[in-house]
Amino acid sequence: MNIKLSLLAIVEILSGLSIGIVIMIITYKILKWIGRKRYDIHQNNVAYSIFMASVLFSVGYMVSGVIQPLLSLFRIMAASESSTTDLLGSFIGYGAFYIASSYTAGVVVSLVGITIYTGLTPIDEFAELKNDNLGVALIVGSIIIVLTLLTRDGVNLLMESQIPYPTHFTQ
Amino acid sequence: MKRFLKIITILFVIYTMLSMVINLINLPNPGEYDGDWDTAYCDEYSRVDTLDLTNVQQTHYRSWNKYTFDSLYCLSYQMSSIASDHSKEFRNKIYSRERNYEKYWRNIYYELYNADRENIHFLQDSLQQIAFQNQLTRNEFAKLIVSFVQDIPYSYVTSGPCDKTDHPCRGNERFGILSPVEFLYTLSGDCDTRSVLLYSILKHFGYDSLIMISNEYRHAMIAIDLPASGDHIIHKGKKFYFWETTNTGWLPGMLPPDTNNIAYWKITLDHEYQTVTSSYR
Repeated sequence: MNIKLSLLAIVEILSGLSIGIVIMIITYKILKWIGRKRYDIHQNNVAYSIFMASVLFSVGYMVSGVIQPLLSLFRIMAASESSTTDLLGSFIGYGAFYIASSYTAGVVVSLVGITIYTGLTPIDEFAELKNDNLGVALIVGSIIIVLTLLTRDGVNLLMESQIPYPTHFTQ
Repeated sequence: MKRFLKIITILFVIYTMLSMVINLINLPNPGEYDGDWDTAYCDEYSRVDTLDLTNVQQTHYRSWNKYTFDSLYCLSYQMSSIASDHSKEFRNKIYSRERNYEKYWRNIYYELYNADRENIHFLQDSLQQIAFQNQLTRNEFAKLIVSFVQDIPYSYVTSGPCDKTDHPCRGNERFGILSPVEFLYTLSGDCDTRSVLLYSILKHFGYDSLIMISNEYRHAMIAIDLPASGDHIIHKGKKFYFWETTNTGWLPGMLPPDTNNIAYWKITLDHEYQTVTSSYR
């Protein structure tokens, strides 16, 4: 058994699990709070649930792209940091920054999706969601997901550009 | 308040678990590193001895960091200018009829590998000796080999004159590449020069490796079938992890962000390639 690789895998699993749980809980709570306070949307609204599911997927998918760069960062730091506390401190510090950045990007993409759709159509989307209009929910959800798929690579590259990789040379 | 305490407890548990896992990974221990001793024992320099009018012998003393930066590896080897000149003469006679970019370079790389693979045993033996002394695993041995090459300072090698770069450069070299023997003699090498040498050493030790090139990025590196994580390609059912060779610190599975579009990377020479399709004979 390759112990170091197994440990690296455990770090990846733990990081992914903790990031995933925190991100999903925060997003879910925020969306639920917005729906209840601002639009008076309560339980048993399938349309709003579809909308929430797309935002959750969008944010989760965007943040999932950070795991690999974070793991690279961990490997680079593990080779240079002298103590576990320093390594963990730096890893958590950088990690929090990268996750927050990609989370923000995910939320921004969702907002842009909603804004574009709202601007293009004469109807009030949130009023339709409140009325449990499944058609509107599916279209808004699709827009959010497609925008996420299209922007994720760019956001990942932006994150990777912040990682202190060694220099390299090309011709 | 209760919820807040719950969150704090969960975060604390995660932090503790991560600490425990990280502690299990062999982090460098500063207490064990006696830099002065190692540096004194492992000086890095080259000695030039002129044996006669046509033969100059270079003795290279190399020292380079382990990946954990807690100690140094060192080795030395001797090479004569005759061997390097002979290898250069061979390189200057190679040609490739292929028009396809990858195949064109595959022929050249294979010829260079094939011509020099028997002439670099001294280095393979020295590296193997270090591996035995340090009781390295297969993974660690691969890192030892690659880090030896990564540690050699980068030089451009061009087929034309060196007029565009402020970096060390060797100009007017056919194909803009040096053979493994020439590279070890001169310690000047660019990305594909390094890749061919690494391919030769790794293949000798039974590693499955590939030489990857990118016309778009104007770059070359190796990819290796090792247990790792990160950027890789799947070739013949195996995962090959990219490994940058032009500077120290790069690990398998890490593609530099400005060259990380895998679609732009092509396999030039794979570990099973045997046939010479076009060559100087």
